[in-house]
Amino acid sequence: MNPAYPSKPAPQWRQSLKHLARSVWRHRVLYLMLLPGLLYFLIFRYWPLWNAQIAFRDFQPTLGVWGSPWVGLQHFLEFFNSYYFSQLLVNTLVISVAKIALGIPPAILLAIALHETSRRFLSRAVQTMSYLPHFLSWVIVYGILLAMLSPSEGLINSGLRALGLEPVPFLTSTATFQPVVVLSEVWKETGWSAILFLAALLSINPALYEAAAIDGASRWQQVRHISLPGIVDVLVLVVLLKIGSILDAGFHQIFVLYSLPVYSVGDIIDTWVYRQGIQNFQFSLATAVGLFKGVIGLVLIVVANRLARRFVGTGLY
Amino acid sequence: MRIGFRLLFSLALCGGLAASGAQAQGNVTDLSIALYAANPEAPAPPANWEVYRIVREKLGINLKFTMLPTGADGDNRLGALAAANDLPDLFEVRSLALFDRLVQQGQLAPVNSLLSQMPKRSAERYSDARRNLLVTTNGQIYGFQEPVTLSRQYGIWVRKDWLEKLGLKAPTTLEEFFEVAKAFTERDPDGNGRNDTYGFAGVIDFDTAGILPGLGLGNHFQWVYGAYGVAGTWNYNPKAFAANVREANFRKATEYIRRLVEARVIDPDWATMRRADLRTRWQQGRYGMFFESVGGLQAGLQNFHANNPNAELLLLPPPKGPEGKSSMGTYSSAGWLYAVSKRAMDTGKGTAIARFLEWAHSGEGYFLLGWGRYKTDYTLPNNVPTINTQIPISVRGSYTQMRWLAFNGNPLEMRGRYPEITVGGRKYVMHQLMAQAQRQGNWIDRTGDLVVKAATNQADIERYVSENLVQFALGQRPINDSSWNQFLSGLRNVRFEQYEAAAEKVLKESGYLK
Repeated sequence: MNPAYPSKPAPQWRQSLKHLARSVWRHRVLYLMLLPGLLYFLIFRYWPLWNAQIAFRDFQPTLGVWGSPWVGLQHFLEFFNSYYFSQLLVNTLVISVAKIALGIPPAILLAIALHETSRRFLSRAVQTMSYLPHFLSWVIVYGILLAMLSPSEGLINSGLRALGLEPVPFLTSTATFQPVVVLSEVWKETGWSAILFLAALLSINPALYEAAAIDGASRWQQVRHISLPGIVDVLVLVVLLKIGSILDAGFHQIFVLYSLPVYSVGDIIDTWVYRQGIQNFQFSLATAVGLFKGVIGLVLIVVANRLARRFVGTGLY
Repeated sequence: MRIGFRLLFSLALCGGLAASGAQAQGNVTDLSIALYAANPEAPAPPANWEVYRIVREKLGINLKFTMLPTGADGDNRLGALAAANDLPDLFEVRSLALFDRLVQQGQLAPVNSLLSQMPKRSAERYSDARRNLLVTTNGQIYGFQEPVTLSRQYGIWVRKDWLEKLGLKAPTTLEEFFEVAKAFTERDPDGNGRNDTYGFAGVIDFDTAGILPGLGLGNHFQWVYGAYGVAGTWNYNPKAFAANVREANFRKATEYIRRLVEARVIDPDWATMRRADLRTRWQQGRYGMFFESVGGLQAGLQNFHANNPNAELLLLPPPKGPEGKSSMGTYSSAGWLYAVSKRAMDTGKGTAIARFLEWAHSGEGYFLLGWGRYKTDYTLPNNVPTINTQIPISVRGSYTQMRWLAFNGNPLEMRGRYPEITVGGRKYVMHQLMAQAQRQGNWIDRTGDLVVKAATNQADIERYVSENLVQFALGQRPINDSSWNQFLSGLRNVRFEQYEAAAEKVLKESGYLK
C-alpha cells in the first residue's frame, strides 16, 4: 500500500490570481468606472505606438504600416541634418522653459491671493475672470494681440506715439517676439493653472492656520510656513509633467503668431514638422520627430522625477 | 400563434421587398467626390439637393459629395485620407506636392481610358497635350488637368479721388509710385486731420489660384520684381538657367521694397497681416493703393463705399522699372486638377466618373452645378447667367459648391460671374475690370514651374529665401555687398544648387526650357 501523501497545495501564482480576481470583483464598480479611461489610453495612446514604426519605414499607404519598406534611421537623420535643427531645438527649449519658469509663479501667487482673501464674492469673480482666457482660441488671442500691439493701429503703439516715442513692432521684431509668446501664454493660462494650486491650498488642514494664528504668526508667515510647503507636492507634480512635454512649446500659439520676420526666434520643432512633414506629406518624417520628442520627454521625466525625490522628497511616482 | 405567423410572414415580405430593392439598385454606382469648397462662406449642399436625385435617376450614380476646407487645411485633410488609404473616388488636388506623392505611391489611377468616354469634355478641356504633360508620368495621364478659367485677376488699385484731391497723376513708374505713396501717407488725403493713411498695402501671400507667387515675398510684391525683370522663381534663360534670386536686379527690387518700408509709406503690419486683414483695412479707406483681386474687390465694394462715400478706384498698370520693364507677376495656364483614386478605378467606377464629368460639362449639369437653382439662384436674361443677389451667398452658395467642375471660362460665364454692379452710386463692370487686369498686367506665363518637383527639404528652402528677403525688406539686416553675398552663399546650406539643377533638368525634358 502506498503511503498517503498529503494533497499538493495549489501553486502560489494561482492563489494570487484568485485573490486578485476576488479583489477585482469586490471593487467591480470602481473598476467599471476606471474602464473608459483605461480604454482611452489603450486606444489613443498605446495602440498608436504600434503605428509609430512608420518612423523607421518609408510609409506607403497602399502597402500599409506592416508592408512599407524599412529605411532605418533615415527620417531621424533628415531631421537632425536639417539646416535649422539646432535653431529649432534652441527656440523650442527657450520658449518652453520660459513658459514654465514664468508661468508657474503667477499661478501660485494668484492661488494664494484667492485663498487669502476674506471676500468670497471678490475671490470668485476674480477666479472666474482669470480663467476665462483659457477658453479663448489662439486665433482670438491673435486678434486681441494685433489690436494691442500692431505698429499701425495697436493700442500700446498709439500710446507710445502719443508720448512722442517710436512704435515697436512687437510681433515682427526678433527682440520682442519671444517675450510676447511667453507673456501671452502666461496671461491666457495663469487663471487655469491656479486652480490646481488653489485645490492644494484648500486641502491644507485649517487647524494649522488656527494654531499658527494663536501662536502669533502673521498672514505672511502663515503663507510662507504653511501654504507654500502645503502645495509643494502639487508644484512638483506640475513641474514634472511640464518637463515631460518640454519639447512641446505650443504649436497652435506659435503657428498663429509667428511670421517670416521672426522665424529665427519663433520657429519651433512642431511648426517645422507641420511645414516639412505634414504640408509636404512626409508622414514618416513627422512620426520620427514625434517619436524623438516622446523619447526625450520620457528621459527628462524619469531624470527629473529622481531628482525631485532626492532633493524635495516627493515625485510623480 | 396567429400573431407569430403574421410576424413571420411580414418579415418574409419585407425581406423580399428589400431584395427586389437591392436588385433595382444594382445599376446604381456609389461615387464619392471631394472638392474644395467653392463658396467657403456657405455650408455643403443639403441632403435634398435636386442634383443628388437627378444624378441618381439619369446617370445611375449615388453621389456622395464631401467639401474640403480651402487652403492648407484641405490639403492636409486629403493627405490624411491618403495616409489612411481612403481617398475618395474623384477628388480635387491643389497641392502639387501631394499629387506627386500620390502618383509615386500608386494611389492614383491613370485616366487615359476615361478621356474617350467623355468626348465633349475631353475635346474642350483635356485635348492640350502640353498641358496634359503636367500630369503625365511614364506616358500615363494621372489627372484631369483643366485649362485655367480664372487667372491674372490681381492688380494694384489706386484711390482716384485721393489722386485728384492732392493734384497727382496715377503713377506709371516705380519712382512715381514712391512719390504718390508718400503723398498719400503724409498729406492727409482723407482730410480727417489725422495721420492715419498709408500709401500702399500688400501682404505676404502665396495663393496659387490663377497666380504663381514665386519664391520670396509672395504675390503682392511680384510687381516690384517684375519692374526689374525678375518676377517668378526661375529666369528661364536657356543659356544660364538659374533662380531669379541670384540676379543682380533681384537685390535692387528688394532694396526698393525696403525703401517703401523705411519711408513708412507701406502699412507697417504688412509682414504679419493676413489677406483678410488687408481687405478689412482697404475697405475702411486706410490705403491709397493696395494689391487685390477683382473678385476680392467685388466682395468688398459695398463696405468700401459705405465707409468712403465719395471714393473712386482705378486699376493701375504695373509700374515700370528703371529699364522700362514691368509685370504684375507670373501665372500658369493650368487650372483645377481632378484625380481618380486607383481603388475607384479598380472597383469599376471609371465609367461612372466619366459619365458624371461629361454631364457636368454642359447643359443641365453645367447649369445645376455652376449656377444653382434656375429662377431661384439665377436667371438667364439674354443667355447670361445672372445671379439673384437677393438670396445671400450663405444660402445660394450651398447649391454651387461643385461649380468648379462645371465652369469653363466662356465669355457669357465670365459676364455672369463678374457682372455689372452699381455700388455707392458708381458703376463697376466687373468682367471688364477682369479683362483689364489680365490685359494690362504684362503677366508672365510660368506654367513650366508646375513641372518642377518639390525638393525633399522644400520647407527649409522656402524659409531660407523668404526669411532673408523679409529681413532685408524690413531693415532687420543691412543690404550691402557683404550681406547680400552672404545670403546668396548661404543658399548652399539648404542644397539650393541641387534644387536648381533638378528644376533645369525637368524643365528641359518637358520642353518649357529650350
